[in-house]
Amino acid sequence: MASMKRITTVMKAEFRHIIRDPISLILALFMPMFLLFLSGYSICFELKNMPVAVFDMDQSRESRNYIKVIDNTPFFHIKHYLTSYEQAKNSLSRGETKCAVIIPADFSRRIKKDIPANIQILVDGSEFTSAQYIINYLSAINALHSEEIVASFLKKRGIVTDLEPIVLTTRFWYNQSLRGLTFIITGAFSLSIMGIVPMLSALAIVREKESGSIQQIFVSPIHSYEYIIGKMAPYVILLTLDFYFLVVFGLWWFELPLRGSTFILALATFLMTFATVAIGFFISTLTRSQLTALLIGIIFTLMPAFIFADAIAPVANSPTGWQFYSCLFPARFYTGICRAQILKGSGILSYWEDALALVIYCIVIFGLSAWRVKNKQI
Amino acid sequence: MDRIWGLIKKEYIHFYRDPVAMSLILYFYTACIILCGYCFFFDAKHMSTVVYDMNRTAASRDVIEKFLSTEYFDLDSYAASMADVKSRLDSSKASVALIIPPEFTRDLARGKPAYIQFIGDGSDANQAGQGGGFAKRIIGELNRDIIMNRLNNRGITVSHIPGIDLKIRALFNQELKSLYYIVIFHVATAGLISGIILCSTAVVREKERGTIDQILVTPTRSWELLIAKTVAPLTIGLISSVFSFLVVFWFNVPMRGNPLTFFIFMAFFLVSSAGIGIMIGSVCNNMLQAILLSVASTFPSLFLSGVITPFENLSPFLQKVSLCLPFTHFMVAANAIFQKGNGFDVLWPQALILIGMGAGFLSIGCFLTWRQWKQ
Repeated sequence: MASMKRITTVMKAEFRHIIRDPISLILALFMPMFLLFLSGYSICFELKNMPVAVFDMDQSRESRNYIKVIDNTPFFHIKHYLTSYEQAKNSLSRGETKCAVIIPADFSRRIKKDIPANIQILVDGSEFTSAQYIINYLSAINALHSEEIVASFLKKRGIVTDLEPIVLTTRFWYNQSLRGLTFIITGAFSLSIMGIVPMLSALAIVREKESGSIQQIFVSPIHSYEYIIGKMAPYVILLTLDFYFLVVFGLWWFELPLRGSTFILALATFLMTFATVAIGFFISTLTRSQLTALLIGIIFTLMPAFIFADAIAPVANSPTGWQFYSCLFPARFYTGICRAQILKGSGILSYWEDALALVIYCIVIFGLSAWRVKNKQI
Repeated sequence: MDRIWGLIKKEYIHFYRDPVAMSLILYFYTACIILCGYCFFFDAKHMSTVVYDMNRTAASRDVIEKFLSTEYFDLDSYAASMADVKSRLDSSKASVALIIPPEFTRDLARGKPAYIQFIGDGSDANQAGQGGGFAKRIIGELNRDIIMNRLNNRGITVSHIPGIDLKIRALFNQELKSLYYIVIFHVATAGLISGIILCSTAVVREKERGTIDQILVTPTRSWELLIAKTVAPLTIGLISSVFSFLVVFWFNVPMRGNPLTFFIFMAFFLVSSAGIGIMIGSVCNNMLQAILLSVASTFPSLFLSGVITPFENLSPFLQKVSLCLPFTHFMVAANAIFQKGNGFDVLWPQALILIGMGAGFLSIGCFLTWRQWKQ
């Protein structure tokens, strides 16, 4: 029979442990906040003032006009004027610029004759992230400029026709103005739970093993699951409160909506915290030293959290086999639910797989840890 | 010299005695990179698309075909109603939707604007925004063809519509794969995390177990101890990075530069990471504090190095922070060595910065430890 008294005794002892090291406690509670601010302010999906090098072989009014169009956007500014193609390649290779615009000598002649003109863009493909932005932004600027040329051509010939026979209306659901923040903030919630919690709880048992006080537990009449519940409870309580605060604060500070149900979000956050604390306990039953526990924690939770929490890059891009692997970590289930509740306001039913997976996950990981402790394999 | 040698040997014995930790470090330098290489993509490609074609004519199918034949959009399913579209997007089964209204062909034939709706799942703003850009490009090409056809139908023969064609060439990485960048990023991450953590825990371990007192009574000076604590993780990191080098080849990341240059930079970088670790170790009193601070200290490097967000997108303040991190400079150097084939003639500023930072961090760590010892 489970004894409430035994559980509360273990709980009290663990609470004392936590409170005795206030520096660690403060560090642990503020780390998620640090991660939230860092991701909120560092991740920006808009290009700003990217330096560009230009090699203008044409030196005409048209080419200068084209350069000015690029320079006038807030996204680019012309930094170098080059005099040869070799120079352009060199400046990319030396990392002085990440992008060079090369205007061929026949540019203005072709424009005047109403023939399609070419422009070559050299992008530093080695830095993938910025290369992608540069290509997208330059293509969009070029498309607008081209449209003006087509319009003036048709006007000159006196042809009246629609410039856009097919009109594409783009809409973005859940996030009208496309604030990149919403994605990253909801991701940061999941990332900080998955990345930080298991490490904290893993160190809890290993410390007792290192100091040898775990032997006293084995000789006491306490059951394995009672011991684990008592050990886990302070962490689950403290961290759940910490993450409630984190989510509320994050939503308020970054002005995100909460379209779905607060209750479901709170429940999911609790389950996620429980699951991650349990993962930490499971890790701690496997190791003997704090360093190993920490390394396992980083390798099996922090890194997968970055990759699989759907926080920074979408998990859906990974190959199928690896997607199964990603299910070993509860982060992606939580991110799904969290995003659905905060941004989409969809009912729990459209995310029932994720919710179910999270619940099953909690039960399995708890059972595993209890089983390890019971067999004194700790 | 003898003293330092003895201390270094002692550190190696520590690592030798903890084979689990050693194999985990090795795992970090190899298997984790493989994991990242297979799963961590930034490319906005192959977005699953739900198509709702209310028109069902040759013209509408043409448009759909045009979208799905690109590498950006993959078919998820054909929806039969708007509710279908909504449920696919709500459950994140699809990330974009393409909707063609029933009057599409009729409007197009009459020369009225024919509308097509593109819906992106805005909760992933980066992907959705890029998807919208691709969709506009596809429709733009379609429109040019249609305008030309119309002019020809009216008897106005034009061979081409004027405009400007962008010929984009990505140097050093023609297919513009994110893979290479990610793999190199992860090698750097492995160096950063293992460097910081091994050093900070090595310093704190002595304090926690009380063995620091035994060292205090010997004539050992603080800097001698810290050098010993730096050398062991440094060699372990360098040896492990040889293994990551093999993984990098596994992913066919081009090695255009000199491997030796890379290892020299790796050594500089490990010294600066070790310096951060030593600093943390000398501030903290127990293992838990050291571990928490070490992990927290790696976050800025991961977020601000320009891999997740381009450096230019950061705010001016964060750009300055980013420049203070050794990680940023090492990423620039490692990337340039691998993909561009640069050598010291180009990368000497990065080398100097890394050495300077390493020396700076280490001497701050020494100073902090020296002050503690005096008390």
